[in-house]
Amino acid sequence: MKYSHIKLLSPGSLDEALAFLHDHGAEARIISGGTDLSVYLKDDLVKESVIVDISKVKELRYIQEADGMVKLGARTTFSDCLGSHAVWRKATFLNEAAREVGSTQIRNLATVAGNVCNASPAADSLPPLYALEASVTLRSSLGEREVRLDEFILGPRKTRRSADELVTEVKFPAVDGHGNRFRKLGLRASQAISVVSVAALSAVDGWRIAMGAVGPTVVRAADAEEYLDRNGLTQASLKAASELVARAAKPITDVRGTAEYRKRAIEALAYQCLYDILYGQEGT
Amino acid sequence: MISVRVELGGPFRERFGHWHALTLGEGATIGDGLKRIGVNEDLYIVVVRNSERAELSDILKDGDTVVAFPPVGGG
Amino acid sequence: MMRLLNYRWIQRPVPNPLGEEKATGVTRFFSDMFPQGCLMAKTVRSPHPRAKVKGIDVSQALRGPGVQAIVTAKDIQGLNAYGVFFQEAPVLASTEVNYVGEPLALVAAETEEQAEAAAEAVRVDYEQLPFISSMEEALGPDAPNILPDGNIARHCVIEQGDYRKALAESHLVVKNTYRTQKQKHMYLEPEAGMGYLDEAGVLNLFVGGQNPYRDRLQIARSVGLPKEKIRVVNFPVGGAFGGKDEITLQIHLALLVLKTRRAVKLVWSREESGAAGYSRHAFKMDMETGVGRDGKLTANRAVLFADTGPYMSFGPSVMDVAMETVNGPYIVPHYFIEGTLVRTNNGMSAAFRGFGAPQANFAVESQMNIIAEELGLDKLELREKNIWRSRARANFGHELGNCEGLRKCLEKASRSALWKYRGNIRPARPWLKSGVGVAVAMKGIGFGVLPDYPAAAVEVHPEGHVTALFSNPDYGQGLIVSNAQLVAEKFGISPSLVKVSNADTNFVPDTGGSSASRSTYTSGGALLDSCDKAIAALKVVAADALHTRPDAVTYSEGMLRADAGELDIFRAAGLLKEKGAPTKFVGTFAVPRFDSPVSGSLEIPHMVHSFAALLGEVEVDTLLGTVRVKRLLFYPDIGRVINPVIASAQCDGGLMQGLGYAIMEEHVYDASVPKTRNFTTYLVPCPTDSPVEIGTEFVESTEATGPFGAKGVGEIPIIPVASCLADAVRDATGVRLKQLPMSPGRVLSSLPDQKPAEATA
Repeated sequence: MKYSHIKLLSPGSLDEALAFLHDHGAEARIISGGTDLSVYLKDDLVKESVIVDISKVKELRYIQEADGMVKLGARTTFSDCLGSHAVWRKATFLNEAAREVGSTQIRNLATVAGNVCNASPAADSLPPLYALEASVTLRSSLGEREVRLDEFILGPRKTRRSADELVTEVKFPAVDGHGNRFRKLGLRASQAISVVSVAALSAVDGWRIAMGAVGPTVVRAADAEEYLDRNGLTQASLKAASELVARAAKPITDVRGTAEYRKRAIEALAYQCLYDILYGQEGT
Repeated sequence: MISVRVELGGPFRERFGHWHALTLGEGATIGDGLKRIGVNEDLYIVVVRNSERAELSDILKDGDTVVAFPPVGGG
Repeated sequence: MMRLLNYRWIQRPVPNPLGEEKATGVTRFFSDMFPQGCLMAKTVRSPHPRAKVKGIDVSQALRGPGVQAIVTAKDIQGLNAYGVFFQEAPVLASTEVNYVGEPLALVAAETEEQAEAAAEAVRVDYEQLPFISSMEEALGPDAPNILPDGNIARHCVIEQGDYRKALAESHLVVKNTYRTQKQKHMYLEPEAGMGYLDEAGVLNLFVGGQNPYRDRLQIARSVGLPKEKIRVVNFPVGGAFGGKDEITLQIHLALLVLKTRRAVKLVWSREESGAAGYSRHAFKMDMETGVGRDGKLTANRAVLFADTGPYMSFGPSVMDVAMETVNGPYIVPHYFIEGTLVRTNNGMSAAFRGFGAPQANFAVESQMNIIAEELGLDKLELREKNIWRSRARANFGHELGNCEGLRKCLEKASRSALWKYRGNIRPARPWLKSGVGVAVAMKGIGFGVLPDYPAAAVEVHPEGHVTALFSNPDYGQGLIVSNAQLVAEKFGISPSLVKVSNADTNFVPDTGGSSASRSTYTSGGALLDSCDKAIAALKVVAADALHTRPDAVTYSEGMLRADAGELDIFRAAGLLKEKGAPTKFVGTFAVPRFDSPVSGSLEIPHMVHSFAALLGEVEVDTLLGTVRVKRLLFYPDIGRVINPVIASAQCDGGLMQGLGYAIMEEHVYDASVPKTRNFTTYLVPCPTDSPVEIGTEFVESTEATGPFGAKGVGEIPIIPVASCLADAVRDATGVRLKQLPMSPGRVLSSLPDQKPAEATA
């Protein structure tokens, strides 16, 4: 643990945060809940000389439903998500995923935006956010832009955020769909990093299925989506659809599971998600 | 002269035998008795006299039974 | 006179006074102590599984800011080796290293950051050597010898009767190979300690340990101080489970304090604990078990191999316990048991709750369940036909004591609704399958034939309380409460009047350590003897005061009475004090042992055993291979239950640790490099993994040699869990796993290739 060389900046407002990033962005890391960064600090993986702590930027902590969108301010924690009617009504599976993040203590600190910016392919919130076709809002002292999530994330811990920018919001369309489901395989019932995960959403305009931990980023199962759009979800199409989902996955072998097992598990999770949507089952 | 019985326990058995009957002079200590049979591990030993904890410097009495063993453990 | 029934202070849920402060984070463990001017220490460790050490250069590191001292093997005045049975492991390696994480040097600096930087600056010149990463390799023809005496650290055969003939004549012979993995203790507080030299030149060491007096002797042997110049304190400790039974950092801390003559603190990081801390031995067990048409066991052939790492530590004793357990608590007329302790470069394995019993239990109880299935017999009925009977001659030549509890455990399990209606469970999804399993367990109390003479003391204070003094550390078991209850019961006074002094070589007698399910049995026995001695002495002084003979004085509930009057024990203690007589009374207990150890073993057999039956219900996801444990119903015989809440909590903890062992925990070594060194990679069960129902129903029995009839509870809960859950998975899926853990990948690949559509058919 060597961080006595790191300077900590604690802005009290968004403007101040953006000013700090304008001045120090190139050598800064942003910390919000700190549940990822504190591990990186312990493992000496933080090479930057400045940490900008946005935890006091209170104006970024909100959940709004407006203009057909659900908007999560960057300081929104997973516990906030779990307490939100808007998220429950419009994206139940995002809450199923939020419930899978760490422990209660972690969920009280960790933010959805932080999960997005850490950009781990195993991040629990990402498959539902990909299926929701979410986007992120980036602000700098010079202006604001919006980027689709699947374009924002480039790979593990890599995003299109510029050094002087702050992700201020994660938002997604308030879809009125026919059901959605998230299932994750961890090696224990909670507090486990995802071996693989699947999010399935039957939106009004079609199916969207996303998978976690099967490649450098979350992957959409386009063939399976198209197949379900064409054939509908029935007892007869369940099996073929879940096989198509697994076919889109290119998992690796690591300490948590072999590629072969991951492939089988993806098919199983897809099957189980679709089964529950088909039969209107709640999560177990 | 006094007669005592010395029993060895644990890994000491393989090295010093199971038990010994010793005849010693008056005033002999437990340590003296153990030295007689080759046990000279004064740093790493537990001694028990007549089922009660004792020290190597304790004077032996006629008829005493001494058990000596390294402080092992197990399951 | 001892009452046999209707106790007043035992069998009661007296609360643990430390419970609340531990739960709320108030308790200061040694790793929480930061005395003023305390140096921080770090350990230089081998990154290689096996290498020759050609040189250690500390010159650059010594020049680092804040660095006060660097200790290497050259600083060791005494024996540069430790080990409870055989001193094989170097305190600090100097010529070769044999596992990743092996310590070579110690650094003390003013801050932790400075110590870390200096530890990194120590230059060790290694020449890497071929290493041994499996038992198969170690026993292969071209294997290099890890130590000069070869890769077989110990070998033992126990044989009775003619197993070959008996197997040949058996109605059924079941032959299988079982494999178990390394398990880590994962105590919340890693190996940690703080030490200093006091004004009198005594080396004070506050360290996480399980046996303060034995640790003191090992420290003395290495640092070359007389034991009286060393004080070891082992209370409070944040968990141990056997992982702190052997020396961890005690000698290192002593060397650092002696060299710097300052207070020094040494706390292993989780990752250091993951590499240099101990593990449960991985076993391979070849089993051949025969049974007659009547369901009576005829013979058992068990060939056991265990990976002990490069140095033995508790290996011989772990193997002994496995060999003693592998016939189960069953009468087996003919047997052949062979145990081979194998050296590898996979880190050191040592003591872990249950020693070798959970491993051997997995083999023998799986065999029993398979036999029952093959014979079409009820699994509990098969056990009932074969279990030990009281006072029968046991497998190892000794006469058994009271085994009534074992039969009652089986009876309770067979009467439970879960067992009777086990076929009626319906899971909520088509791909989920439910099953119920069963296993029986035994665990010897104490060290078997090894001599064990615990001493303890009570002190009666005129101010109005009694202190119980014993050295078995309470590292979370609740021993300080149950022992206070024993003393309270014996004196007939409230436990709130009994204080405890625990695990400090300066103040308490040598009761031995907390291990082998022996703490209550041994410290209880010695404490009750102390109480007898105290009461006898108090009667004498009371007789004097009441002008009568000591035998005319009676004692009950804190009062000494004679015709002429009465006085309480505290007043009597005051009279003793006035006379200059001691008010502290040391008692002892000679643990009964069988006189003839089984040849080649260190501790076989044990005389006193705890027993248990366990029922477990699982739900297997046949598409993912995940196993969810829904119920664990535990029926243990631990003798008299001193404190039902604390004993149940021990059972809950042991069952959960067993659940982890059964389905998720594995300390993975890849090419002799530990891969699962922290809580992210090494998974232990979380609250959400705990069963919907986890319950313990004690089968009370009375052990004639135990304090108020008590035996021990520490290990018995962990022992039957893996075999029971493997049986439940078999009941659910039709497939029995013979290798642990039953992780999702392993379960799924053992199931017939099942496509989702078939799961719903």
